[in-house]
Formats: sequence, C-alpha cells, structure tokens
Amino acid sequence: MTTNAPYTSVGKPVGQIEGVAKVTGKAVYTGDVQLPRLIWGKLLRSPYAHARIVRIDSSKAKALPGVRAVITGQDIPPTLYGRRMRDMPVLAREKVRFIGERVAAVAADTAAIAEEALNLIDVTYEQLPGVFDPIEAMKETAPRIHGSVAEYFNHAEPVPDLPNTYAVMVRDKGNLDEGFRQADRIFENTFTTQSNHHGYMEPHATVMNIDDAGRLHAWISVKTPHTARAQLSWLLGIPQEQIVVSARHIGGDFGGKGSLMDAPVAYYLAKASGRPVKIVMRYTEELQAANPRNPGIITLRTGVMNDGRIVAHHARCVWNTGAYQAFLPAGWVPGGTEAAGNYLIPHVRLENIGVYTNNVPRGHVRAPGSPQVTFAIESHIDMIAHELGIDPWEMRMKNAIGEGEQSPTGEVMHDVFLKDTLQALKDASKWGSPTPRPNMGRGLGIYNRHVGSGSSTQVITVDRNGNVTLITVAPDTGTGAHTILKQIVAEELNVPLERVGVTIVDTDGVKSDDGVGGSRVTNTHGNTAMLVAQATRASLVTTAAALLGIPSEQVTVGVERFSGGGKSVSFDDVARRAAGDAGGTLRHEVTHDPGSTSGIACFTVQMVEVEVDRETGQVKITRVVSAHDVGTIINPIYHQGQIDGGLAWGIGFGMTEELMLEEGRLLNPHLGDYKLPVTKDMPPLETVLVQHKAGPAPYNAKGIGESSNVPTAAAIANAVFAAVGVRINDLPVTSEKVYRALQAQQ
Amino acid sequence: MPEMEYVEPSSLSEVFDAFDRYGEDGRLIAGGTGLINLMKQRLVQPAALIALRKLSGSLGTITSENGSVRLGALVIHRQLEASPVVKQHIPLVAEAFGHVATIRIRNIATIGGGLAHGDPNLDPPSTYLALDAMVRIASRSGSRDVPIGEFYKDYYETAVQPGEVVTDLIVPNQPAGAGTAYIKFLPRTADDYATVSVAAVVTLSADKSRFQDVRIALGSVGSTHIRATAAEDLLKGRQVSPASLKSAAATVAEAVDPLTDVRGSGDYKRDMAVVWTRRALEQAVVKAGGKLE
Amino acid sequence: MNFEQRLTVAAPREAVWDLVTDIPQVALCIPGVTKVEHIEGGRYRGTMTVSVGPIRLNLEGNISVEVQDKATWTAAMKADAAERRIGGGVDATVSLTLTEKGPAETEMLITTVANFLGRVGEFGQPVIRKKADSTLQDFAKNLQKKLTGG
Repeated sequence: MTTNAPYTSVGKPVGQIEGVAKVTGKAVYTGDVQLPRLIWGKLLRSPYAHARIVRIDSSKAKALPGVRAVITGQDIPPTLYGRRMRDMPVLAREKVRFIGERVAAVAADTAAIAEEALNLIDVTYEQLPGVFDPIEAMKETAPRIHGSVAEYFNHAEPVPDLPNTYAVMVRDKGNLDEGFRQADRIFENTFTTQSNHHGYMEPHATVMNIDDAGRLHAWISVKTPHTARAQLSWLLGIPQEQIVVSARHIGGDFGGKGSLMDAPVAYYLAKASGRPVKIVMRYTEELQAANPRNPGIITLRTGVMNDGRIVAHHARCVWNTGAYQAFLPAGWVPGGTEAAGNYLIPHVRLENIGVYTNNVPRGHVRAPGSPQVTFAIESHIDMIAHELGIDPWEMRMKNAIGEGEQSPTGEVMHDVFLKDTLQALKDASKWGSPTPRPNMGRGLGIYNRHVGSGSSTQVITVDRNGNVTLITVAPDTGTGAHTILKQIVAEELNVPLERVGVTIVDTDGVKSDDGVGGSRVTNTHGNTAMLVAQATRASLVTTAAALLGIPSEQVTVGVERFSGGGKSVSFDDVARRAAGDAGGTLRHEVTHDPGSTSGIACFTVQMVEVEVDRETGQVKITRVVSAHDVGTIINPIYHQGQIDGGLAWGIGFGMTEELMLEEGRLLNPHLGDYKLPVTKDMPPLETVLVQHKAGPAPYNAKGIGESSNVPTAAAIANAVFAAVGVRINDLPVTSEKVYRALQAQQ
Repeated sequence: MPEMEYVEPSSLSEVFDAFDRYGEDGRLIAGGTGLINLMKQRLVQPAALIALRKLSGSLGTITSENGSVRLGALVIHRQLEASPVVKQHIPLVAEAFGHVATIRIRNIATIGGGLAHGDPNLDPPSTYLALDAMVRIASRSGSRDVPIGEFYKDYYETAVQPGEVVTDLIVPNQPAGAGTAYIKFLPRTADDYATVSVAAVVTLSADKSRFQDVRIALGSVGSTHIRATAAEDLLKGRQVSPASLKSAAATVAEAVDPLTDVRGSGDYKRDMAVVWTRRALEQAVVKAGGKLE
Repeated sequence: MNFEQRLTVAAPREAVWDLVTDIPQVALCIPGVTKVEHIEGGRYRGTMTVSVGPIRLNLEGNISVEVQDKATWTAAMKADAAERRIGGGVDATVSLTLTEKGPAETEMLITTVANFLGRVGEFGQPVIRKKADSTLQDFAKNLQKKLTGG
C-alpha cells in the first residue's frame, strides 16, 4: 500500500543511527556524564501533602564527612519557575504542597553519603489540611493551596474567582442554547481519568558545572535545549550567552523531558559547593514527583436528532493539576479543545478548568490531554448510539467531519480523510461480523492529531573528503528523528545514506531551535533539514558547473555525480573543490519555521476486540486494528514503531497504568506495583495505512508520534460494553471494575 | 548503596563463621533478586554480604531419592524448570516455576532464596504446600527439617533463625495418577505478581467417581501462602461433580485474608480466590481422568 | 492511615484513666517500644523497634501529651519518630476514650492516625497498614493485661 517511488532514501526501512551505540551500552546519557571533581546531589522531599515548614536544622548533615553543600529554600533566591506560568519553587520555602516536593538538597562525594546526610536534616512541619479532589478544591470551604494566582508571572487571564482555580477557559461556536433547543434528545455523562507516568527508561538527570570563567555548563535530559537555556537564564539571573545546555541521548521522553526538573537545584548545589554536581532521580522519585498525566473529570452533554445527527455539545473538563501548574501551559490544557471529538457540530461550548490540589504536579504526557478527553467523547458517542439504536460505526460516519468543514472549535479543515479512514478500518476489521466466541465485543475510537510546528536551526557541512554532516541541537528521544533527517539530507543531495552523518551539538552550536515536542519534528526539523540540504546542493551545483564549464542551470544532479555538457564530475571532486573554496569546509545554516499547521488533520481510527471473563471481570484484548491517515512515510520502521509503541501506551492507559494516590501519598511507588504492559500483553495488531500525498512535512509527510496511544482506552471501554453490556466510565478499565459492574448488572 | 563488605565462603562451616563475625548485620545473598531490591531502597543495609555462590556445587543439585525430589537451595529457577527429574516426579512444581517473573529473573533467582524471602506473592510455594514439602535448615549445631506448613510465619518472615541457612527443599513425588493444576490470575500485566494463585493436586478413586485425596494451596491472599484444608476435607470421599467443586471452593472465602492493594481490594481477591480455586480443581480433576458434567 | 480498636476491660474507669495518662506506662504497652524517658512537662523521648522480615526500623523520637481531659475521659498522645538509617519515619496520634460500662468494666476506644513517611513509607503501604493494625491490636491486649494483672 505504501510506496517510496520516486525517492531513493526517503521511504527506506533504515535502522536507527544510534542503534548500535545503544544496544552495546556505548551511548552516553546525561546520567553517564563524568567530569573531574564531580559530586552527587540528592533531594530531601516533603513527607506531607500540605504543611508549613516551621524550621529546618541541617547542622548535623553539614557536619557529616564528605558532605560539600546543604541548601534549603532560605539559601537561594525565591524566584519561581515553570514552563509558562511560574508558580513552582526550586526548593520549598514557607510551605510544602505535595508529598515529594523538594525541601532541601545535599551535595556529597558519593550518592550514599548524600543520602545519609538527607536523613540528618531535621525539618519541623506544621501539618495543614489538604485537598486532593478538584471538585472539593473549588469549594469555599476548601483549604487554600496557593496565595494569589494573579501574582504569578504568566498567569491565565482572567484569574478565576474560585478557590484553588487558576484557569477557566471557555470556547464557543454557534449558539449552544439554540442547539439544545433543536435537539430531539439530550445525553449527559461524566468520565474520570487517572494519572499515569510516562514510563521512560531513563530517569531525569542533570549535571551542572560552573567553569573558571563563570560560565554554566548544563547537561540536562531535556528535549528542548534552547528553551531550557532561556528558562535557566531568567530563573538563575544569568545571561543566556553565559549558559550552554547539552542534551545527550534521551532514554525516552513521551512528553516528560521538556522541563528543567532538578537542574536549577543542581546549579545551586554546584554554586554552593564549588564543584560540578550530578543529580539522577530514583524511579520512585520519578513516580512521586515528576510530571505525570493530569487526571480529568469530564462531563459531556450532547444534543442529537433522532437520526443520530449531533447538533449541540457542551464539554466541561475539570483538570486535577496537582500542587503546581509549572509543567503545563497556563490556560488551555492541550487536548481540552478536543472534547467534542471530530464531528461536525454546529453549536459547541468547551470549558476547561484548571484546579490546584495537594497531589504531585501534573504535566505533559504523550498527546497531553488528548487520551483523557478522547476516552470521554468516544465513550459518550457509543453510549448515545446505543440509546438511539444506531451502530457505533454508523454513528461516527454520520457525524464525521468532512473536507472544508469546520472543526468543533471553528477551524476550517482541509485534506480531511476521516471518512476514508473509517471505511478502511471497517473493511479491515470486519466490523459488524459475528465475534468468534460469546462475551466478546468490538469497540471503536477516533482521534485527530495536529501536525506540530515551530522553528529549527540546522547546519550542513561538507568537508574535503566529501563527508556530509547534518548538525542539529534537537536530540533524538528514541523515535528515529535523526535517522529520518539523515534520509532527507541524502535524498536532497542524491547521495547514499552512508555519506551523511548526524552530529548533535549543544546550544553554542546553533543559534536557536524549538527542540522536540508537540508532534513537531518531522515537519519542523524535516523541512529545515530539507532547506539546508537544498542550499548545500545549490552550492555544490555551482561548484560543479564551474568544474564542468557550463552554467549552473545545465547541471544535472545524479547519484554522487554532477553532469552536463556531455561531461560529469564525481561528488567527491565537487565536494573537495567546494570545501576548499570555502576554506576547508562548506557550511550552510538555515533557521526555518514552516508556519501554521491549523486545519491539518492526521486521523487515527482504532478497533479493539476484547473477550471478557464474566466470572472475574478480566478483559483480554484479542485483536486491534489501527487505521491511520498518513502522508508519505519517510522511514517505515519508525513510523510503525510509533504506531505499535503508541498502542502499548494506549493499552497501559486504558487498563493497567495508574498512580494510586491516597491523600496525595503514592501507594505504588515502584515499577513492581505500578504496571506498564509488557511484550506478552500485546495483542495481535493490524495496521491500516490510508495514504495520501497531503502532509506539510517534507515529501507530503505527516506526524505519527502522538496518534495511536490516544483512542485505545475508549475503544477498550466500548468493546467491553459490546461484549458484556457494562459501561466503565472511570479509567483504567480494571478487572475489578468490570467484575463489580457485572455483579450490579445481575 | 552504602559501602559494605562482601565475602564468599566456600563451605557451610565458613558460612557459619561469617555469621559469627557479622551477626545480624551480615546477610546471605544467592541470586539477589529479592535482597538487592531492598538494599537499593535502603530498607536493608547489611554491613556484609555473605555470598553463597561457591556452594553451588554442593547445594545446586537436583536428585531423586526415596520417593522424593531433593532440591538444593542454590538450584536456580530455570534449572529446576528444565530438570527431567522435576518434570517426571513433580511436574506441578516445574509448571509453577514457569510463571515466575521473567526468564532473566529465573536465570539468576535460586529456590532457597525464594524460600527464605518469605514473600506470600511468589508462585512456587503454593505447590510446595500442596505437595507437603519439607525445608532443610542447617546451623553450626546440625540440621533440622521443617514441614512447609510450619515454615512461613508472616510477611517476609520464615522459620529460619539467625545463624541458620536453608540448604534443601525435599518435595515428595506427586501421587501416581494425580491431576494437578497451577493457576496464576494476572488481570493487570503478564509480569505482575498474582492477584490470586492456586495450586491443586487431586487424586480420584479407581473408577474416577470420587475424590480420594485433594490438596489446595493459595498465594497472594494472606500474610503467607495458605493451605485450604476446609475445602480439601469437604471433597475427600465425595462424588466428583460441579456442585461438589463449587461448594468446596466457596469455603476458601473463609480461609483467605487478602490485603487491599494495587492488585485489587481484599473483597475482590476473596471472590477471585473462590473462582480460581474452583477452576484449578476443575483442571486437576480433568487431568486426573475425572469427568465434570 | 486510620485505625480503630475497641475493647472492654474488667477494671473501673478511674483505674484505666490512671494508666492511660501515665505516658511511660502506656507507651511501653506498644509492642517494640523499648525506652521512654521524661523530658519536661508533657514531653517524653522514646525508642521503638519494628521488624518486617529482613527490614528493621529503629525509630527514635518524641512523645507528647496532646489531650488529657478527664471531663470527657479522653487522652491523646502524639508520637513523632525518625528512622535515621533508612530515612523518613512515622508520626502517629493515638487517642483513647473511656466509657463506663459498669463499676468494674470500662470500654476503651483507641483511634490512631498514622503517617509512614519518606523511605519508610515506600515499603508497601498495604503491608505497613496490616503490620500497624496488628501492632495496635497487641497494644490493646497489653493494656488489658496490665489493667487486669493478666
């Protein structure tokens, strides 16, 4: 079905550039960075969800041999930080707001000494009542977690007049009341989703070193080095040019590697000790205090006509953000605008409410917000279809958005292939055919992922030996990003892949780059790589023309050869000359932003088939078909890798992954109790690619990284309903919930 | 991890010397799959690790003797799983070992380590209970045999006293003609601990119509593995029928005392113990040649 | 974590009150408490050892009288202890309320709110809950023994 013609490098199943280094253990991650005189940092974290810090006595810790620095909130400037709204302290000062919050930090010669020193710090707390549920937190009687939100830099406008609420955002299309007046029937359901961790293998790590000239060298497991540099600059009060940020290999991101995490505290430890300091989070700290997915309480109210057409939809998403908003954008939770699904609805209101609670601060996790709202809307659609006696697939087809139509938020959509994708899914999944056994059922879910945008800077050098090197600051988070950039460069220069190398540089290496995130890389970095490759090619053509003694326009670029006027020169010869003319290395640099991607869609339609054990409630996924609306596929291995890996994610979110919190205390602080699906849990997966030449990325490619993980949970819940007639509105769909629902059904 | 000493005695007597030297701050280590986790969490901080690897020659063998299989404490899981002797005489045990964690763990974890760890969530102990195994424990003053039913005391607590080391597990051969089953209920992920696990050994009368002997043991539903004696007693001598299995399984609800945890509420686990006991018995009955209509 | 124990002892309420307001006496009824020293006023220092299999917690900290209100027959003490090797610790408030059932019969309601903090709390909370519950049950039994001379 997919084809790579007329390309030579694009579309090839090329293995990852860093694959060998990773499997042989040679790849250097941030935690592997070694420096002379390096010492270890460790953090003392709050044992209470909400408490006043009365006194901290660190004298015993300071006296321990091998300890180089002990710092508390009183020892550092009170500047707050965050990705956008700045509400989070580097170290708690007056108050702690969640279990796991940083209270003090130690740097010592070894990690063991640092940990021993933590136990010698005496903190006197005065416990305060906590609030953990966002609905409770909005009540007048709730304990207040923060002072005035209006005092926080980059806060949402307007500041809501509700306790513990930092943002209320409303988006309207049409006239909601009018829509509900027209409706034959109105349905309302509430859905709740859990918090889950990204589950990357590499925990957050950082190494901070202040050199003799006072320049800060920051190694951070971060996918956005320039953004990190800017954030460090304003937080630490150091000019950007005095900071260099390096990202090494990233051992999995999934949305979690976009923050500074413990880098600022490592800086203050380095400053206090006069030594380079490394901090690597334990996985328990990751589960307790990183930035897991924000749970939502999502109420959907939908007006439909008797024939199934949707006329009005009101979504109210209340987000349990936890103690700080720092890891999320200030206003709309991404995904909050997707709570009406991908349906043509004339009258829509979307409400998004962000609420503080005394839980771990929530942040970006692969397709932030989307799996939560998609679980809600795609379950809700099935519930409505059931009430109306309409097949769930027909219900979706009837309301699916089409070419040139408006999305629920009013964007005019183009190159829309939802109905094609739905049809392809139906054909491949044998939707509507009888299941092989009783107690089996099939469910559907739809998702649309935007193509990301942003700016990138990339450099190509060609040396005298004809080596082509792409230089980028954006790390490869494990997706194969560098490999596809290499394919694009090879394609544009018409050289074999082996001739192109990729080098990652620190923030000194290129002037700016938005880094990785938001389904951006194939579009932003791909287009930039393409442009810098084209500029390089133009230079080489000019040199070739000179060598051939013909005008540039007459030069034909063949495979490693330039020809024209009946003669030809090799790529090596042209490179030698061009590099020589340029003083040894031909160098091109391009900074590029491919611009708005509004209205561009990448649909995923999934079918999940399950078998339910009526006696135990156990749900087994027997089959999954995932249909994707795709453009040109630059590398089929990593394209499929994103689909397959995403599906494992979708199953984890749908069924097993949950940070279980009891009054803010994590009950499963280890990966033995917090369960990620393993290979054996993966059902047979069929992928259907509905391919069109209609993407904004190079060669009409689209993104695929944050697609297949999103609709799975809804498809599972819908399949369970189809199998045994019980509806689970609260994620994850556990065997016990299904068991209880089956008991209630009898 | 804090620094510690590491010694590798090459005989049991040297192990006891090490006990004398380090007292309770010395910890035995074999595969380390249990202890290292606790050490990494700083929950256990031994002054010395007393490694048993040099004893694997004498304590790493599997032999068939006097109607039993003797398993040395340093036999690794994978070795046991693949052992022809085990497969021939106590196939139920081999089956349970196939469910332990992953192959990577099974290639390093030892059976003695698993016994001494005393974790009620482990797979093999239910089969030891159902087969009336015996644990041999050695100390400077000699060795003693402890019936498996008296070995487990509480969460992570066993009959092993300071100065003692588990040397062998002696498992009687499965009764001739017995049908057995080991079931691990894993509603979350395939690498999880069981929510409930059940081992059943069923021997039927010659005409396959009545239960002659029944042994049932469960894991993950109490502070130790549990033998379901009430259910066993109810079935012995009784007619083989779906109804008898159902009523026997129902008694398990009283025998178990499961914790509410990430694998489910105590109430759910209790209900599941009943369901899976019945299912394990069904499988065992069929394997013993019985019929269930 | 919240716990509740209720027991009836064959002793007059006045005698029970005398025991439950004697901090060293009452604290030593908690299994694992090895030492209780008076510091000043209503403040004491104590040590406690708790084992779960290979894990041994050595807790050291303060006990203070929170409430001793004879009008309502309610006594409460707060313990706050640190585990210096493992990291973290425990804090607990134990409240006892006495109800007269007869001249020589008193009902005791023991309610406990406990937090297991830091690394100590990272070891399976469900097992900790079970362990704490059985410790508190033994505490109730020890109180009973002490009062009835058993």
